[in-house]
Amino acid sequence: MGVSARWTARTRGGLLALLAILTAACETPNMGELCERSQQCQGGGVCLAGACSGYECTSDGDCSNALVCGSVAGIHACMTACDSDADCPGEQACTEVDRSATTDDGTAWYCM
Amino acid sequence: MSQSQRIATLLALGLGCGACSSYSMNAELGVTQGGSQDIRLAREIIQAGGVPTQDFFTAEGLFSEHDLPIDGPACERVLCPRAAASMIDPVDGSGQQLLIQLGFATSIDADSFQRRPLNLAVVVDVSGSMGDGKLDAVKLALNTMVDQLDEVDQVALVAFDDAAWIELSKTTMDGPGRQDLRQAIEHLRDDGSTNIEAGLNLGYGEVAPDAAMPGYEDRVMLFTDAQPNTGNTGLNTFLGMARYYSQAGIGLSVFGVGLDLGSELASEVSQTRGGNYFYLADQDAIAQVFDEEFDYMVSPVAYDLEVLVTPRAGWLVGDAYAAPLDEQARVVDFGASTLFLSKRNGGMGVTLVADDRILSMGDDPEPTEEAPMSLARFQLRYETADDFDRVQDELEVTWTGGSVIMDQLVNADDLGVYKMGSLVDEFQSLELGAAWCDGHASMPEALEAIHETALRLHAIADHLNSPQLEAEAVLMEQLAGNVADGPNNCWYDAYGY
Repeated sequence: MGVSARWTARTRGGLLALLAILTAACETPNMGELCERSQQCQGGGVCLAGACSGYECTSDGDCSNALVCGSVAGIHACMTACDSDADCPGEQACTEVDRSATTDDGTAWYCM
Repeated sequence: MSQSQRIATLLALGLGCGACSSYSMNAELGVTQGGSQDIRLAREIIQAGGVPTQDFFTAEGLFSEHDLPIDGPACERVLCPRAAASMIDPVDGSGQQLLIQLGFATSIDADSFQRRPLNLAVVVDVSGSMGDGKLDAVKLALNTMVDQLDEVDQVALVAFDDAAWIELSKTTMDGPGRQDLRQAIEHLRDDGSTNIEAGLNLGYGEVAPDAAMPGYEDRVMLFTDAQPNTGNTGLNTFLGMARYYSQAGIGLSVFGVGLDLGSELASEVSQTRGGNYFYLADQDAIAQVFDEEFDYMVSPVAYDLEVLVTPRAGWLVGDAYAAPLDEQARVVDFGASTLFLSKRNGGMGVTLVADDRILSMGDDPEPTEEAPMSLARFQLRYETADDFDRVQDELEVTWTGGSVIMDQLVNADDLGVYKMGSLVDEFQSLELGAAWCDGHASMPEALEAIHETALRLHAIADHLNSPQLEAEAVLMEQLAGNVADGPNNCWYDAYGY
């Protein structure tokens, strides 16, 4: 690859990275969507391991983007159900969480 | 005495804590459970002439202030469970029973130990009530902490009164970063009312984006003098955030500043994965926690410890100390949400009582060192904090009938459980004092137990040449005097009412 081609490739890569940063910086991602900082997330969400999380719910109808209303240590929040890390957005991992903080109510697998 | 005078008295008394922790001098580290790490406020209330009620002390807080070692073979894993037994006759009159201490050794040693890098948010209450020196105490604590941070750590500083804001967004703690953090700490001013949830939400918001980075410890530290509301458990409440983010591996350390936040909160925190609670009464406590213990309090070694206890035939599990237990049963389950590294060897205790329906205490053959009595089988399950391995372990607990400790034959198989027996008496005396305040025990009943505890503590302090246990004996004498002075000395809240 010549100098010019390398420069073009680097420039294109740089521009794409810049675009990604600008996109992340300008957009206000919703639950389950990618983020870099908590302040970006809509509706008071928290950017947890690269995806907007921490949205309270009482039923699946409160959640969007295919998230479900799951119980995490007794707390109801919109969650991405998963079988493996590949199902999870951002850097989130498919995690076995306690369904209840106070009773032996089993576990569930969610992206966190 | 006015409310402010009582607080001032407590803060002043807090400057001398005769019974506070002492450490083993070797390089071995111990392991303690999360939750309450001391009973400082109960001590201060007694020293101020009061009788602490139930909300001011926990067994795990009392045990955590003492080093309770259990001897055993060299430990070559992160956690090695150990147990030892002692015959006790507790001061509550429940009769002779066997106390089993469960403790843990670790292969991690103090000389080579390096804590994991931190992904940390420090959340500080700067509401108006944090005046009167409390905010200065927090600044002292934080500046002591800054001395122990370096370029591998990332720290954010969040402040809150009736709203929350970021004083310093997450910053790498290299030289300039530490300087920025010190300036942000200096910038904290007290004003306004208190919204803990807003502060915590912002704190978790700083840690969460980088949660679960390999090798990092994710943690939020909350400093407040206000009682968090633990009644509501929605996602945006104190407990809701603590529980939800604990499942994502973000631990919570709560620091009560000039105000013990009580055993209920301590209990809730202890049941939250990665949670621990400290009462920062004074400069001694701050120095101890942030200078001597900082690396360990941010270093969980295991989560979700569950212990299934099956006693030998004819015996029941009676009580559990420093671990939740609902009722006497043939087979019981107890545990701890988190085990942390510590300079002390902590421990949980369970008692075994003879099932009257089957046998009495004297029916078993006398145990000896050569022919120990098999007491119980402990089946343990936990998850290691460094690689989330699920470990199962088993421990056969035996009783040899006693041992020689410092040239004296005692009814305990090891030093730790020998000391724990006297601390069980102290805990029961505190409980009887509280029960007397609540009308559930008579004054003579409470006084008899407390006096007996003081005598026993003097004896064991003499035997072990232990100033720390001697201070506990003196504390019990003070408690007896306070009970004898009448019910006006009962303290129902941190302000003495």
